[in-house]
Amino acid sequence: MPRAPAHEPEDLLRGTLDALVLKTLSWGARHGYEIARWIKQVSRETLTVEDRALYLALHRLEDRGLVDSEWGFSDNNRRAKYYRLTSAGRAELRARTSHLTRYTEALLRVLDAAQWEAP
Amino acid sequence: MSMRRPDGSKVRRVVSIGDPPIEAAVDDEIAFHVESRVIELRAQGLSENDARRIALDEYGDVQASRRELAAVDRHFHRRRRVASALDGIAQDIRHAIRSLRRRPTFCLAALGTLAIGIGALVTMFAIVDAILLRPLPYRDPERLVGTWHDMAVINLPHAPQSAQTYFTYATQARTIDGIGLYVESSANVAATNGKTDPQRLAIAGATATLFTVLGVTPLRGHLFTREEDQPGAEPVAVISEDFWRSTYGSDPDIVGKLVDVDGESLRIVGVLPRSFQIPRAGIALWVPLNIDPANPPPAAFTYEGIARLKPGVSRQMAERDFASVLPRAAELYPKFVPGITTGQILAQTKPRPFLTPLRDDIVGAVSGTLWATAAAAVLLYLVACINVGNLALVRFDARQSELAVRQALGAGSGRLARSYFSEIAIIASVSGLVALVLARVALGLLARDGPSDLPRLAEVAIDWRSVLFLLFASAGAAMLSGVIPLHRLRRGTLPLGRGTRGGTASRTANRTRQTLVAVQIALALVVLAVSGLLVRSFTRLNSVRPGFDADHVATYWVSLPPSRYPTDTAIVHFFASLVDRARALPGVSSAGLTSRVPLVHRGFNDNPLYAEGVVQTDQKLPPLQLFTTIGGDYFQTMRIPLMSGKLFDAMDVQREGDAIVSSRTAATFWHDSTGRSVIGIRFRVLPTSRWYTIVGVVGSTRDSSLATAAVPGVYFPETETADRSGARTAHTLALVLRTREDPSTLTPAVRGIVRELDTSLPLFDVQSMSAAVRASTARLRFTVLVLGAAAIVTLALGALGLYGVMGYVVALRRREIGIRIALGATPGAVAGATTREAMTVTAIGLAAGLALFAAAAPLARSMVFGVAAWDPVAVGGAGAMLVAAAMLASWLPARRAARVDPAETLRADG
Repeated sequence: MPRAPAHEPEDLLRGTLDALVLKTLSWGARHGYEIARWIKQVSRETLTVEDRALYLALHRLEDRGLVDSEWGFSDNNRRAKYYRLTSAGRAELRARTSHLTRYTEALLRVLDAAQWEAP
Repeated sequence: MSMRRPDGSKVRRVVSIGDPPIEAAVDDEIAFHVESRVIELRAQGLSENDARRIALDEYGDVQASRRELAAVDRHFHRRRRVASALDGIAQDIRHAIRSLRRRPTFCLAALGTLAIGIGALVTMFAIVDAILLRPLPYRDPERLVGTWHDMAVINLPHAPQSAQTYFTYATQARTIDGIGLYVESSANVAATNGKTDPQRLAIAGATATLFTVLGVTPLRGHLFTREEDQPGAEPVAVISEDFWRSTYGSDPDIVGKLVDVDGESLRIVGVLPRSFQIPRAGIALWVPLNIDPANPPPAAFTYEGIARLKPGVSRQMAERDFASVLPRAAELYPKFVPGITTGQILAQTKPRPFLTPLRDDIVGAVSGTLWATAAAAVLLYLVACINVGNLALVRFDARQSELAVRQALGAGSGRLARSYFSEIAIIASVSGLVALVLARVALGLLARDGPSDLPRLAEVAIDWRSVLFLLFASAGAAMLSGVIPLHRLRRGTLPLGRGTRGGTASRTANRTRQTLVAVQIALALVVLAVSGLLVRSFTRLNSVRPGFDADHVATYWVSLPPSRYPTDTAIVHFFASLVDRARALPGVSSAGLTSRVPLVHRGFNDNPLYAEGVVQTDQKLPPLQLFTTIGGDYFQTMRIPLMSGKLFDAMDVQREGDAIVSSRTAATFWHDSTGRSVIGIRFRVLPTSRWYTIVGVVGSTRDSSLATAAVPGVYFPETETADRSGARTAHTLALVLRTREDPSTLTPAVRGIVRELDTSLPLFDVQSMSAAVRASTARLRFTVLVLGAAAIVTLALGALGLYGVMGYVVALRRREIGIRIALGATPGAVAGATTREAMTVTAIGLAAGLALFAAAAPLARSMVFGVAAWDPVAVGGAGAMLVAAAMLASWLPARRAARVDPAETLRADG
């Protein structure tokens, strides 16, 4: 859903973080640690997310019904909480992605502009 | 569906018995994360302590994180629990609807029955609430009282006020915050905007104090001030909201406009809201009474009074206060009527002041009937709920095997009860909605066709209180209908297997159902018997001989305003012409005039009669007689028989001084009901007025109602007169015509005659006498109809219940019956046994019903006329109807019992 432009870095971060988490889950069920590591990797260490914030985002996403959780066993047989996208989550991911993409493109257009064109 | 990892492998699910507590799960999750990081860091060569320190550092504030994650999870779980509970209810409802759709007959029967029961109850609640329970629409209505006098010595227990007593109380009493007077009347009214013809409307006179005592706020303008209520003040009027809207089109500038009342122009000063119904609903206009305390009008005790008690004062205190100040009236306002002082009147009538709550005055007459009808509605409601409970029990017992299996498989009796109750709840809710519609229809019918003089009828409506009551009634119906089967459910395990079909559990169920049917029959008997009593009253009332012949007689009232007819000559001339022309109309066999039509509420005039030669031994007033002024051939038209002497001469010939009395008067004063010895005797209407000579004696007639005995009446001719206890020649008379054809065809002709004589005069209260007679029994007729309908419905429900029970009994005992027939019992004997069983239940019900009726007999007695409470025809008839219905209801099951094929039932067992 469209939100007012963020006034503080945290707001932008939360909305964006949700999108990142949802994207991470789009390939299958993950537990929190995997998600954290994957984001760090794929973003080439640019995006660092505090672990505490990540878990808060995950729990809030579950409360909103965008993800489901289930306790299972990890690769090395330890108990871990796995998260999975719901269909509502998939829809939200699509909406977020397109919104952020357009936003970023707009930013880039302004920053890349070669000359001043009179409006 | 289990979770899949990115590589497609399934996440092995932890199967736990119940969810781990929230805080523990959060701890586990954070621990897993930190451990995973520690493992990674150690794989890079760091020590355990360093790895752990870095990992915890990277995580962030663990304690804060635990708290916030737990908070989110608690919120999430709470929402999920609510959603799942709602889901469960939705599921129950869906399941119940499915189950109900499979049995449409049960569904419809239960729905219809409950809808009728709840509808009747809600309708009566709306009526009783608006009329009897809700406070009157005036300020502090509980302190308002009607002021009356008990004059036991002249047999007048409920006399109102006179000007002298009013002023005495107003100035001397210390326990009241004011007293006001009103009197009802009627007049020819026309709006001076010229838009409407003159109409005959009900109007009222009121003192300015009446409005202040009641505490009313006008919709427009103001109510009478003290100056406007003085003798000689400018003529003003206050009109009603309905009159303002209908005749003046809700004109916003109504204050100051003029209205024409009996030829006089009055200035409108205010508009009263529709809720103001003193003296009653339907009053179009109020005028000030303009009573001068020094010169009170000659009319005696004719004003009704309302007083407001001071806060903290009880009625008894105020009555004592009134009684102590009343004697001062003799010195304060000595003039009563010409020839009699206030002191004399007080001594002769010995009035004892008493006060009644205003609400009782307004609704008291109907409260008995209304409560009785409400009680009938409650009975109907109970019978309906019991019936539905019975029907449900049938279904329940039929499903016993299914329920037993479910119970054995672990379904808690709680869940079974819930699923069962949701069916009942759905039926009750839908019935409630249907009942609401039924109630609105019923109230609409009441407003249109019901007794129009029902007080506060305009206030009856379905409002939020009725809807709230409807909800309670529906919930109550659900509980009453569901409690029996539910009770059986909770009582424990249901037997599985073959025993299910004919075991002892079913027999106790049957006993319960039989008891329920007996209760229904008892209730039905009560309602039927009371209805029977009312029907008998009604026929008795209708067969009363009123003393005149109402067939083919019609009445047409005309009132001559004094301003246009200031002299007696003018009045007599008008009426003489009227009756002559009316007599000449084709189709008219005789015509007459009268100031009072029996059974119609107009022109009531009670007065004492001082007979010559009859000595008044004590200080009492002589017995009151009903004075009527007549002209033309009144007695012949009404076919009131002449018993001795002669009738009056024609109007232009007859002189004042003659009088005709009724046979009751002759019996009372001269002990000769034939009247032969009475002719020529003289009397006067005041101790000092002129003498009248009796020239004839006629038969007595019923007057105020068919139920009250014939009244003693005295008849005077319509002549020019100087003095008749201060009354003038009557200017409001009814033309009475006897016609050969249907009297209503003559109305246009009569209107034409009146218009020929005077175009400004409206004809009003045009009515056939038979309609008037019917109208006088309207309230009783209405009650009979309503209770009769309730009785029929109750009877039908009781019969249905019995039919259901007996049908079930036969089904239950198929094996037994089959065996008996195989062993040699005839079908007739078997049928007979079934019928006998049904009759036993009926007999028990009848006995209980009679006991109930005995308890209700005093209430019934107050509502009936001419029949004893234990009238054999009514009560016996009710019982007979019940027995007949019961026999009919048990005939079909008995036949089915007789038709049982023993071979088939025995085979089914194997």
